[in-house]
Amino acid sequence: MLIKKIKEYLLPGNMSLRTKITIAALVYTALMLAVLTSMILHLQKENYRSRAIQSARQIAAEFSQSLFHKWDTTAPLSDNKEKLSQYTMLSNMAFRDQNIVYVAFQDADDKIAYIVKSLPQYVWMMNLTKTDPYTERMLRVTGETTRSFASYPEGLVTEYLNVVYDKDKKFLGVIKIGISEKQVQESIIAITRNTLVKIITVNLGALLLIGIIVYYMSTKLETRLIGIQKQARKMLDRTPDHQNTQNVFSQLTNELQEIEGIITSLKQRFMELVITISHEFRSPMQAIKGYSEFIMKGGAGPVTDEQMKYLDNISENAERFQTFIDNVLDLVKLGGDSFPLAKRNFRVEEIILKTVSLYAKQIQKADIKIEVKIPTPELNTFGDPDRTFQVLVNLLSNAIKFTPENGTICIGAQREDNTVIFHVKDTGAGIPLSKQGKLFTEFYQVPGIKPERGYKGLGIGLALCKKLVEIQGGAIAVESSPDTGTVVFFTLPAQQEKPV
Amino acid sequence: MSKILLIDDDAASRGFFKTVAEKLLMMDTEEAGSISEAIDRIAEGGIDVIFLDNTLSDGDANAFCARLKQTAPEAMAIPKYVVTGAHPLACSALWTECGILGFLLKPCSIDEIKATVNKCLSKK
Repeated sequence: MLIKKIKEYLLPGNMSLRTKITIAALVYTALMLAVLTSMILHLQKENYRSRAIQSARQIAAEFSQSLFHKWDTTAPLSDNKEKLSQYTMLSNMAFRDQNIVYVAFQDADDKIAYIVKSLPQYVWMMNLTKTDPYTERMLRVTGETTRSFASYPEGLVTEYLNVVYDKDKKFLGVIKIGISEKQVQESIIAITRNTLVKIITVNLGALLLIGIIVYYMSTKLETRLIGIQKQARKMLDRTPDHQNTQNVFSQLTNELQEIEGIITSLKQRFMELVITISHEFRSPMQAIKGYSEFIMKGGAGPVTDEQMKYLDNISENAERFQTFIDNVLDLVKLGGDSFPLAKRNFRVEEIILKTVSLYAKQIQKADIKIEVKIPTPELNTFGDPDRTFQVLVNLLSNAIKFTPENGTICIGAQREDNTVIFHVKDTGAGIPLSKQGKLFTEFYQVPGIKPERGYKGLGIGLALCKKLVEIQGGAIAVESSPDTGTVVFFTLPAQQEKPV
Repeated sequence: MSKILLIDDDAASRGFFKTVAEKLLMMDTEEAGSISEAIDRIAEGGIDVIFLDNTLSDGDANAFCARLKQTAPEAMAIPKYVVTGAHPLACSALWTECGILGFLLKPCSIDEIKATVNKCLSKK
């Protein structure tokens, strides 16, 4: 409750944040400095008292030495002793053999005088009724009157005994020394006052500096917070806009749905266009290829060698054009939602021989040796025979393009477990490993490798092969090196007992 | 002599099939550029085999079958083959009912045409 009241008093609600922070920081710093100051003063006081006692004992020792030992009276008293001697006094002596002391006193007049005169204040306790030899001596040496020797200075005096031995370590007696507590206290207070003034000065400086820094930083903080607060208020003030935002989102969703519909419609139209193009080019192609074949087969009468050569050229280029268009259209169709597949079990040998037969003339013309390797003639596979044929056509066409004269192309297939592995191998230039990564990417052509014959193409054949193989549940891969040529493998599922 | 009806809206393509049929297969031929025309020809009778394009100006093979079923159901039994430029998804039940035995993808070779015609004639 009290703390709350203090807080309310020190930090009223209407006070700015920066002022609150600054006050809090200053109060905290002041408390810390007060604790620190208190500790410093306490240590200083203890240190002073300790040094006073040490100094008193030093004086007593020096006094005893002046009496009984050889001592250099010309040497100045230490700084410590000089500073503190004003609170220290020789108060009395008690010796076992007074004669020894008396003799000693006789020999040490000058020393005693030196010591006593070094002390601004001293008390020699004497018995006023009975004069003792020390007192007489002290009176004589110091030139003081008996009266001034008879009382302690004002305030409590703490006495300490200093034991005196002779040269042979024989106990002679003790010298009493006294410390004026009052004077020590007064001195400590004076020193503390000075220290306190210095500390308070420094502390005020520190508080001022800290206050300025904290105020500056809290001002910046407050400005930032006010900015945030304003933004937050603005956002809160926009409550009615939530509805607007929802409307915007709803509108956007509708627009996106419309766009999606448009895209779907465009895709549909595009696919229809592809099918139309496919159909429209195939009909004239039927006439071109068909009539060429018809004439070549003698349907229109005898054909000369020269005519046959031209017809062969027409047929070959028509075939090339058809393959190209087929590939492009299929690639587009494969990117659509569905691709027609007529999957069934079919004979591998039949499809391979059909492929080889298609390119028989070109292979012969290129002077390339062809090897067909099908270890099991009755081998069947499960897939779309037309699409498999299309893959083989592309692979064999590539092999013919890149195999040099007198080279060899090997085409075949074999079963391994539940898979039929097809291969088309050539002895062409081969493809460096570093360039094989993109081989099945659309429109990629291996740089630096030129075909031995024909056209390089657009780089869509292998990409199409990959897609056609994969949609039939198979995989395709290549092995190639510049020394041995290239072999492309692809797999299809083996014959199925009950095709789905 | 067997007679083949060639239904195709592409005159060049139709002409090629006519040439092959007459010159190499020694068949009589009839031509039609649309379904309506084809129905009229069929109605006249004497058709042994029909080669049918799948994309005609007045419909596709399904439309042809529907109209044939309606106007000349007796002609449903005539063996037919679809010759198409676009790969059809599959042979429909209507095709089977209509006597369509399969399809040929254009461009097809003379050997394929010969084999297909023989297949159709054997089914008659």
